[in-house]
Amino acid sequence: MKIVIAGGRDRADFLISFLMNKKHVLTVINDSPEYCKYLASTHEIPIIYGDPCKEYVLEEAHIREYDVLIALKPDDADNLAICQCAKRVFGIKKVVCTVSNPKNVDVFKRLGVNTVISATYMISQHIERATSVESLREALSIEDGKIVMDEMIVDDSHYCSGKKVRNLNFPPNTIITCVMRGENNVFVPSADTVIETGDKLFVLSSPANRDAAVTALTGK
Amino acid sequence: MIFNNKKKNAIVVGCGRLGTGIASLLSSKGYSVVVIDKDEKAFKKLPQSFSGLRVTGDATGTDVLNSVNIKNASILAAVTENDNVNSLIAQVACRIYGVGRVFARFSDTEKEHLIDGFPIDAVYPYLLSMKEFTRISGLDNEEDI
Repeated sequence: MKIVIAGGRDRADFLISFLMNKKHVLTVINDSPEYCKYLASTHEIPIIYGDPCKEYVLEEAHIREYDVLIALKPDDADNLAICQCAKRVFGIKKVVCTVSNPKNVDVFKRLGVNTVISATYMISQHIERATSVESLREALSIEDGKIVMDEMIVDDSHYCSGKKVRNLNFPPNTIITCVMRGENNVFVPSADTVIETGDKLFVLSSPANRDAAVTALTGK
Repeated sequence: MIFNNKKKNAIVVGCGRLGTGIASLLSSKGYSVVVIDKDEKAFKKLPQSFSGLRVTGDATGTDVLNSVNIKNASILAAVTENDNVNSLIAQVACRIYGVGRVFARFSDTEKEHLIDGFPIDAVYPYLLSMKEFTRISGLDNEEDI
């Protein structure tokens, strides 16, 4: 794929190496002359010096036929301007940006940015997961929380321990996607699989049915 | 008062010279005006007689816009010194909160590509200055070579 990276400092450097390893074609636009010099000395790719918020800078970078643009400037408004210009003027189909204000994730999506990433938001989620002491914890939130993946370690007190999957009163739109039994045994359960104490279950559900799924497993 | 609830509320973002002027104008026309600026000192420019609200905060965050009841506003003017900030706020106002009349000021005329097709009225000081220069210089009456 042909990818433009607009703005960004340390994150840009790491991302460039990461994407180059995956054999993508890259162009980088950055508004810091020193950083451009540094990037030019470390990577064999086109580096354009200029403010990516300016339409003429994007024009100079010849990004018209590119597949993806990633905007990494520290200022949210700048990133929206870059993404919208890339999409509307240069016809780039997929635009991605980072935001400082986590609440802009939803706002920017509604304004047409395909993927919006908030480091604050993601870090909070990870910290919450890492500090969780409950037997059930959220492992993954997909599509902004419209789909939730939970993981749960079964103990003796749980209703599901020793029962077949078909005998659990699972609500609609929920499923045990995967069971981890011991260190290396990972399998997709069938209706006849018997859940054992010590199993780690990965449960996929919609937020509305999540509590009912938990009750079906724990009996609580 | 009940009937005027939605009609006569205005929000001005950016309390520079233009923001101050627009806020005073709207106020004199009977609007309840809220002026937002991230720098508290900016409000010094408002005339003593200005009776509207002054809110210190960053209007690129929806928290600030919600706190001034943007849903009840009929007019919003985004006139900070930053084009991208004005574009963002104007789009949030008309596309997310459905504010009826939205204005944005842009130094860079190419910013029109960002708001093209949205119900946002843009003001370009550069174009206005060029127009006025052409007029007062009399060059508009001279023939092109």
